[in-house]
Amino acid sequence: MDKKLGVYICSGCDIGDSVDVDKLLTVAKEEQKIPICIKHANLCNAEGVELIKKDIKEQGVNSVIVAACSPRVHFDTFSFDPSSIYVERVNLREHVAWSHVPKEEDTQMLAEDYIRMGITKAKKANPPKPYIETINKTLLVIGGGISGMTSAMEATKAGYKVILVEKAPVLGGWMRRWYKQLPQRPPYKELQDVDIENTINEVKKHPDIKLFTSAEIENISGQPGMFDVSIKQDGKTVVERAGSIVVSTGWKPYDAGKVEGLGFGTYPNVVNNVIMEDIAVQGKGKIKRPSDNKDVKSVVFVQCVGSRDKNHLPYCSSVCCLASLKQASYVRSSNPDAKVYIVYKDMRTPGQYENFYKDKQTDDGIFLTKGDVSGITENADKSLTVNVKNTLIGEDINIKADMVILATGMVPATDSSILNLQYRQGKELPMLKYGFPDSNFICFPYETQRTAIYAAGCVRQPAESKTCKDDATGAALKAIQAVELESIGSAVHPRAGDLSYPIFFMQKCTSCKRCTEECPFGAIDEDEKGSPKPNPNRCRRCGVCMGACPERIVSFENYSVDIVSSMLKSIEVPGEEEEKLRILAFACENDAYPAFDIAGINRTMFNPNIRIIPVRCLGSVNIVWIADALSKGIDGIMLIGCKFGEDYQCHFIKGSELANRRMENLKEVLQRLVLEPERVKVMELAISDYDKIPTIMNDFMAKVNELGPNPYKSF
Amino acid sequence: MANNIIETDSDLIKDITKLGGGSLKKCFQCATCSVVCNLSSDDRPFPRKEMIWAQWGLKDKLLSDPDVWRCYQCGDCSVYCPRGAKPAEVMGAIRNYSFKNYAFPKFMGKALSSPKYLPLLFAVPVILFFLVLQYMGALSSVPTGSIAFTRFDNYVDVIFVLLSVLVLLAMAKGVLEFWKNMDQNNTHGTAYGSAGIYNSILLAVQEVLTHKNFKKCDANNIRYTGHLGIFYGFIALFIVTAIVFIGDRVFHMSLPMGQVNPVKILANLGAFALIVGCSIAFYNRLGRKDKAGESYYYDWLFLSVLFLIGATGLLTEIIRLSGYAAAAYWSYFIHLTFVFFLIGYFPYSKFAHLIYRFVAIIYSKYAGMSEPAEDSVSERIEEKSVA
Amino acid sequence: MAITNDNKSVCIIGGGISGMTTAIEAAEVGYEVYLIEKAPSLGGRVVQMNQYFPKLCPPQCGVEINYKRIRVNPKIRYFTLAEVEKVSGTPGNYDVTIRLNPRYVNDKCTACNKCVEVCPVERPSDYNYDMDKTKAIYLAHEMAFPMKYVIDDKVCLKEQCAKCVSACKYDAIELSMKPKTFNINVGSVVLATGWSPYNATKIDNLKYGIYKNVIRNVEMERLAAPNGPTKGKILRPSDKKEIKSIAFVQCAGSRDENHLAYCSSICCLASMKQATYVRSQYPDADVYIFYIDIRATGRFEDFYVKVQADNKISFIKGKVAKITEDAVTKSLTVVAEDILSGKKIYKTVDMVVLATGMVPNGIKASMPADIVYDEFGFVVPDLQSPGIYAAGCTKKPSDVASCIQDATGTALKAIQIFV
Repeated sequence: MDKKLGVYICSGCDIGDSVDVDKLLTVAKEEQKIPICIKHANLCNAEGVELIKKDIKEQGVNSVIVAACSPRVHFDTFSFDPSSIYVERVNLREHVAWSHVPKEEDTQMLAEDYIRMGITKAKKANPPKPYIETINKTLLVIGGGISGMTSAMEATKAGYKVILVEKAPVLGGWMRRWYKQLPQRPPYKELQDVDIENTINEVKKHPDIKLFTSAEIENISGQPGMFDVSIKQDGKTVVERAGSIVVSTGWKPYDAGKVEGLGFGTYPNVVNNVIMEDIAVQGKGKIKRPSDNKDVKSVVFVQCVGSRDKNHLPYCSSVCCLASLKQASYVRSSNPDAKVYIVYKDMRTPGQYENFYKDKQTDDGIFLTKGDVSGITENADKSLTVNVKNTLIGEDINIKADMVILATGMVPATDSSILNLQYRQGKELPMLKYGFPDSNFICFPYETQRTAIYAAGCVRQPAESKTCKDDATGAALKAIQAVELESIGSAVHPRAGDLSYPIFFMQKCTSCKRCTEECPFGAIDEDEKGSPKPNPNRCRRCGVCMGACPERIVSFENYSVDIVSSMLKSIEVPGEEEEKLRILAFACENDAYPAFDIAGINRTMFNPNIRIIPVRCLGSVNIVWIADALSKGIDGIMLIGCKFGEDYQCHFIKGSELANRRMENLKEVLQRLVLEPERVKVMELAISDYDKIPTIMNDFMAKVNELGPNPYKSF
Repeated sequence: MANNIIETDSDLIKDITKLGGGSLKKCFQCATCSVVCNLSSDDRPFPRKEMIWAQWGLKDKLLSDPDVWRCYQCGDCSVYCPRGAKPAEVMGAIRNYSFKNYAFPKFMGKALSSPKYLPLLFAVPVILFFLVLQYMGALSSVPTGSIAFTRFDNYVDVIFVLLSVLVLLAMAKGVLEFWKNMDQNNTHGTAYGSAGIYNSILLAVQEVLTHKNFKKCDANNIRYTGHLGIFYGFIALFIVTAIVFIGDRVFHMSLPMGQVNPVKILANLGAFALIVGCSIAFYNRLGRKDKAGESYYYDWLFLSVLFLIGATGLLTEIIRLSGYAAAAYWSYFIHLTFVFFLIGYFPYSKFAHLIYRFVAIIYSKYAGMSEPAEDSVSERIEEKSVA
Repeated sequence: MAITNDNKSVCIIGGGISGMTTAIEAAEVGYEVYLIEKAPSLGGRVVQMNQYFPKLCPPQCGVEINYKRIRVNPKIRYFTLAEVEKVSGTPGNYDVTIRLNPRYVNDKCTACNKCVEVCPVERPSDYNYDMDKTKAIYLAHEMAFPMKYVIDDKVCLKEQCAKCVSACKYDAIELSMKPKTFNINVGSVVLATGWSPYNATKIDNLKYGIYKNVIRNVEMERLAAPNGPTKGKILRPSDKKEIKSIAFVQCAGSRDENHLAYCSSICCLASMKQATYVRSQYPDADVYIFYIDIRATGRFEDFYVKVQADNKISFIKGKVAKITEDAVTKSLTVVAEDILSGKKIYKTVDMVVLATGMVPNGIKASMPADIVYDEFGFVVPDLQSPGIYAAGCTKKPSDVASCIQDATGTALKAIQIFV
């Protein structure tokens, strides 16, 4: 594409008062040789925008450099046909005029460097052309319990086809075993019949749902929009094509036998809450104890068996309090004289379910106390004595019961192979914690490390059926969205709308496998020879592969090793004698870059010797950039990104962590070159840390000052 | 660890429900009640623990708990209760349950707990007094001459003296059992017994006479005023009765007394205080339900009897002074019937709270249980920090 | 994006985290959406938070990504200072009447701040729950989206003053701006009107509004936030002094029939989170959390365990029902029964935070079908007419992740009408 650049510099919003705009024009025009260079007092007004449009139309400008405010504002204003016009925004307002002392030499030099960097980038970057393949928009749903069936039904209602694979011979999962279900609607007091048979029939009959029961996934190959799914059923394997996947394999009850002193598996009348449902179903509501089939007169529920216990399940299983209250009313309706004791740690009935708790409380035959069950012993008549400590009654107590129900927790059903993905990085969804393949993001609960594969229901987090249904609906939406975005060649979250994708220049590849190992999303497989085999539809466009590649073979149309290298090389580095240090900062564009903007909006002054280059993710920072910067004479380099480690905040999972690791490895190299490793520093900066920016900058500046100028400066 | 199996008595829950504590199961043990209660002490706050004991049907704990009797049912706790569990009413119901439980003979406890036995209970004095009249021959003709109730009293006094002895014996049995239960089921702290029994009684008398804890009620302080009227009205009338009895029997003083006689003045003042006190109580229970809470049979029966004693007493006096002999005698008859009711059924009616509460206060002094705070919380904090 | 679904649009009422999510998620499938927000900026309650539990990460991080998703997606049209007056029609074909309240600042605003410098009038900052002031012309906050100033017409002197008009170089201020009403035609409507903090003055024994150092959890968020009234330093309101001790009062209003009978679900975790704010600023401060039940469901339990491990944070089972103030020092004494010991506990602290609950905002606009509410004012989800749905805290009190999860599902419900 023939590049025709136009530079438009705004002097409004204090820019004109802060820097000499005419000198900036000179830089663009004379130094950078840009034919069209225009200054305007208020570029974002209709007249200013018209000016640019006119040049596009009449002068054939196809690369527009807007040197004005931050790209975070006036996005629409300066957005022209995105398929043919490349727009580069140079942030002279927030990052220069609003955050530095006006009319100073250093401020002027900063603005000039940003103009140079912007022009350099615009010279090399192009509007991306999307990667588009023929996309199959069918959803694969794995697991036919309440969550899976909900995902399937809700997706069909939006016009999508579904393949539903269930391991068991029948649909319905655990819900099918329940005697009654929790109240689903106001006033949230009465138990309701389990109405899952209707849903099962609906699913079975649905023309858009291809159902496989007694079936398992043998393997899944390919990429979003074009997954080839081998389904094994009755010893036969069929291959189906699907676009995206919802994993809703549910949960298993925790093995209460592992919790000592409760006699599960030893005493016949100690059961778990799942068996209790079976007892209720078998007796058609009559609760009889297993040892002798006699009506129960007294029952103890022991809460948090396994759950909230660091030796077993450290998390709370969320539903057991409600389940025990529900089962307590089974016992009470089975025998109006029966006594039910519930021993809990905390009664957890959030939201409107407080009503259910309140209602069950008022039952004369239900006795509740906080307490710790210290042991259960069996008596000669097979009844049980439950020892309870730390009660609300003011003393330790012993309760005699015909039967004890252990409120055992939920374990996500992720222990066996489910997906069998033919991905280089592993066959299953990566786990977050305790076997839950959940999102690490509060803001984005459907964040996933395997593009277009979403977990829903109890496999993701312990929940009652109402929440599972809501969750399954959400997951179905995300699965639908993924195929729709893939179909137009767009990235999915968090870069939805981004049409660029990484292009591999394979001739130079050395098969070092760094990209295949480091991609946070398992997007790159390997061929027989060990060379990378990218799957653009799995890609999230973070650029981690680009940062990983020592041969610089990975690039995007508008973001590459060369583009950034050229940008940083365009910085004017003063000679040693001038005693002006230059610091380069690679800033994560999601958090760090906006933090600098906010500092500007708050008119927070920070050091003017720093040049900021926004990066898609710190993980995309290639070591070459560091080398280039140091050989250019830059005195110090900061990599400013998101928090890493546990509770990481990097939206590409491990970008900032990888950057940190790469920089650790770099230290040795620097030492060999007689360069102090302290010149390169990785820093965590959250978007809300804008008030800390001056200090962080000054501290690093002071450190570099201490080290003295880059010895390579004069070369 | 207690080795005993916990006994949860479902009947107790039913009883307490019937006796006015129907909301007890709603409690979820947040202890708002114990904190807003101005009478609750720091070391043994109530009524949170009583609520769970009641929910669990822990009879022994409730029957031996002095704190049940340190509650004056101000209603602060019910106003602030987040669950609508009305601890004040539950505490009242627990006290009612206690009269019934400590009653001797047991059937009397039952008889006083339900309106269906009411005719029978009234029938006893009425028949007894008719028999007296029959014996006196006063049924056929109204005695002539100046109206003098002493004619009747000569016989009735015998009944009342006998009745009082029986009642005292029955009461003593209940009280001793109560004391024993309290003593057995409460942990003895270091201060146990240090006050000495006589001193404890003295302190309790002082507390009862001054109503000093009752006065701390916030939400329902009108109760305090009403109770004060009833309490002192009753004491005045009790003293008058005693003077008259002794005066009549020992000193053969001339009766009726003149209106300027100090004893008579005390009697009239007492009756007046009783009626006003009762009226306030009626007003409170009927017109301020939101603050006072629901009232139940025990409450109404006791309050009505008290009021009627005051009212019939005063009425009798007025009729006597007006000189309508027949009416005066019949009025006196009715008056005495209520008096009989009050005294004769004393251990089994709400009236017994006087004794149980008094004994519970004595016990708590004797056992060295901590007192509710005298002053505001912040002052208490300062004291503590100074210490 | 290139997918077209002609005339298939969704109207989302409420531009908080739930509404934004429903709008963005539906738009990223390819549907047109209208996002209607009453306030001058999108973001709702979450932008008033300092951190999210359990990660203790700033809400602005996710909000920024959502703002970006809105910016780059032409399918999303948003209106701020806009209120829905009426919805009429039938599923698949709703007519929504929207009233656009005047901002008095037009699109020419560059957010240069010159107007604020000259404005002589102040108003209490609703963003900071009235704990400080802004000028009559103001920016909602540093990240306001859209980044446009707004005039509070309740305090602005208008033409009498007009200093801002002459200070503005860009002709952005129009004091004569009038409300405008317009209609849009959509296929489905989503209610995401969110919640308000409970009016704690109604809880008379906890003395909010009477004792200065008794604050609500929402105010604590502002005190701890770097863009709050104290620039992120937790100082007690009475004398702006540092604190040495603090008490959190759980269920202040929630689980209380006299106030909000339901559990607000989030307050336990919110208080634990705020306890970490205090502990990170004051390494010697003592924190007391008074609770009935600690409700940290699912993996939130990890956070509870982590906070419990801090030996300067004490958890006391027992509800605070009495608070007194020292007239001189303005310190507060909270009283509760420590239920597990059966004794009353008195703690004198510098500041008290009431964990007040969520009150659903509901919908005031006239709707074509009866919206069914439960006894607490939350919209009952499965009883709405097809085509009208609710998302987030409009349905039940929820944490942010649950709201977003729900709002994502609601996006699917909302687009099903177009099949």
